[in-house]
Amino acid sequence: MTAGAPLIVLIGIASEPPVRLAAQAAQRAGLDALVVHQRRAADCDLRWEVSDPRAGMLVVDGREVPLGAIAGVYCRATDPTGLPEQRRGAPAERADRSAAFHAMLLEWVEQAPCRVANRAAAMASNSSKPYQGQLLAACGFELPPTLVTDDPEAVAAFAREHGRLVYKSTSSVRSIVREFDAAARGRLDRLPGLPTQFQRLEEGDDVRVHVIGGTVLAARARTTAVDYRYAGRDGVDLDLQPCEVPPEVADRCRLAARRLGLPFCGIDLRQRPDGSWVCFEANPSPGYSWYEEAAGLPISDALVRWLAHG
Amino acid sequence: VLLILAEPDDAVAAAVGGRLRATGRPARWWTPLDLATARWTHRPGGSTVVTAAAGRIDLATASGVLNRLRWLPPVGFRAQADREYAAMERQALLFSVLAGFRVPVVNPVQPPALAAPVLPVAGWLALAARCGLPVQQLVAATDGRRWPAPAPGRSAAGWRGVFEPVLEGVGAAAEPDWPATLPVGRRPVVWAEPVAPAPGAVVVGRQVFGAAGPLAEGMLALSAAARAPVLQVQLGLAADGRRVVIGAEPRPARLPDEAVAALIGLVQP
Repeated sequence: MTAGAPLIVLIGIASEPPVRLAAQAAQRAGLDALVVHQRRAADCDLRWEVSDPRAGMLVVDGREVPLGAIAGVYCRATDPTGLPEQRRGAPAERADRSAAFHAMLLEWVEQAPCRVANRAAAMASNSSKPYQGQLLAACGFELPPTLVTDDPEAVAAFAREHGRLVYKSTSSVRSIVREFDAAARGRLDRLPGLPTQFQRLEEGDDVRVHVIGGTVLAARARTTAVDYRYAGRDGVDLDLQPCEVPPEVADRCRLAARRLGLPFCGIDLRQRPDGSWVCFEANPSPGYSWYEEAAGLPISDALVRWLAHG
Repeated sequence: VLLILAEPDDAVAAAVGGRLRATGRPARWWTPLDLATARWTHRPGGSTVVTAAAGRIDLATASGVLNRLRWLPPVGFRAQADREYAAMERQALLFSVLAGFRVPVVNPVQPPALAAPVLPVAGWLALAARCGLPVQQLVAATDGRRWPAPAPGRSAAGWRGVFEPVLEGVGAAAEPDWPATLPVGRRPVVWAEPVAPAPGAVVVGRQVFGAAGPLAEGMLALSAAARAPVLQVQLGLAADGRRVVIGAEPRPARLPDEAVAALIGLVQP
């Protein structure tokens, strides 16, 4: 660590690849990085004045850090209610300390005057794909024709209009893209009561664009899988390579990140065979480690640089 | 037609609907249960058709939406996990539907809430302070022994009431029974400035009912920052006589008559 280096805070499970890579990148960059390991939340301490989020103290592993000295926060927090320390049967006092520390810290993150990647309030746009899609369309992105419905007849009409379709969850839960094939057609009777998102299947290469502050880092996935993230599971080959995107596409990604309030996000695009671009969604908490390790994108370096210096 | 989205016993929605009926203007009331059991065909950025027990409606015919929704009840499906998943999908659909209106929606959708933000007290107070409003002084500490009361007279409040969003019908989880001999000790605490009850105020659009001057200006700023055109601001009286913000509620249970009139002007300009 370089003397006087900016202090950044990384919140999450310390061994989880995105957090681990960020910590390693901070070390390479000579930054002062404090890792708040959620599994040890009951042993951490925090004090803050609600009317002034600069006034207070964070204590991790015995080290006391004034809140006003923090330059940036990478929040990759997992839902604390799922942690073993807070599950039923855990010692009540430690469970309460863990829950209180998380609640106070995560609310402080929402209010902190420093750089934050990302605040929960902004990440919530991803809890509805069609909602976020409207925001992305307003940034100039073309989205595939989309229908959200629980009416089997509406799906059939949409398929007649657009040909091959894919479907996925409307929220961010159970979100795997599947082709609307004969088997799926056979299950349409289960659709009433479960609004599902259907989209025209777009041919082309998947391009994941990571926006980190003003930096844009992209990777191109070549595969025949409908959802390239699950190509391995489906037994399909995948080739992931770093790539450049045209300046106007990069600018549109930066604009979307800014408008969505997500200084760090992963935007899923597809480039059609005719060269045009279509956008699917913006991931507000990208599990970027795969792209960094498989495509060699220096995402963690860019992330900690932005947290420390903007 | 004004679309009213509210629980069946919602007094503010009833006041708005009643006034509209009295002047011969149509309103259609859909409850969360109506919405949860409806059939939906929604094209984001395009049309939305809803078929429910209450009838069929093309939402393009709506001239405004009074949105008082908190959540949609989980319905259908035998397994609880499936029922909850379906409720989440419906809620995600509704986020998009509400965002797609080209007519006023008050309060507007703001995921993860259906209408205006759902914030804990700490979130409202931090936002109010940033808007220049005087707020009740709260100091949150995970360890009351390491950080004792910052000033005389501060009382120790439970942290859940300050840091967990207030949700209708959902009680905060109980805090454990700490040994009585350790009233604060190494346990989480919120040191709270004592305040006496004081009448609150309500923002509706650019009007403030119940406050004036810089306080009203601050409330307008808070309403804008929260993107909640309708916002009840709860106040307390500090020991030095200042009126300070102690919380806020974008779905006030009741509104004064003049605020109801202002609300109608907002959703049916």
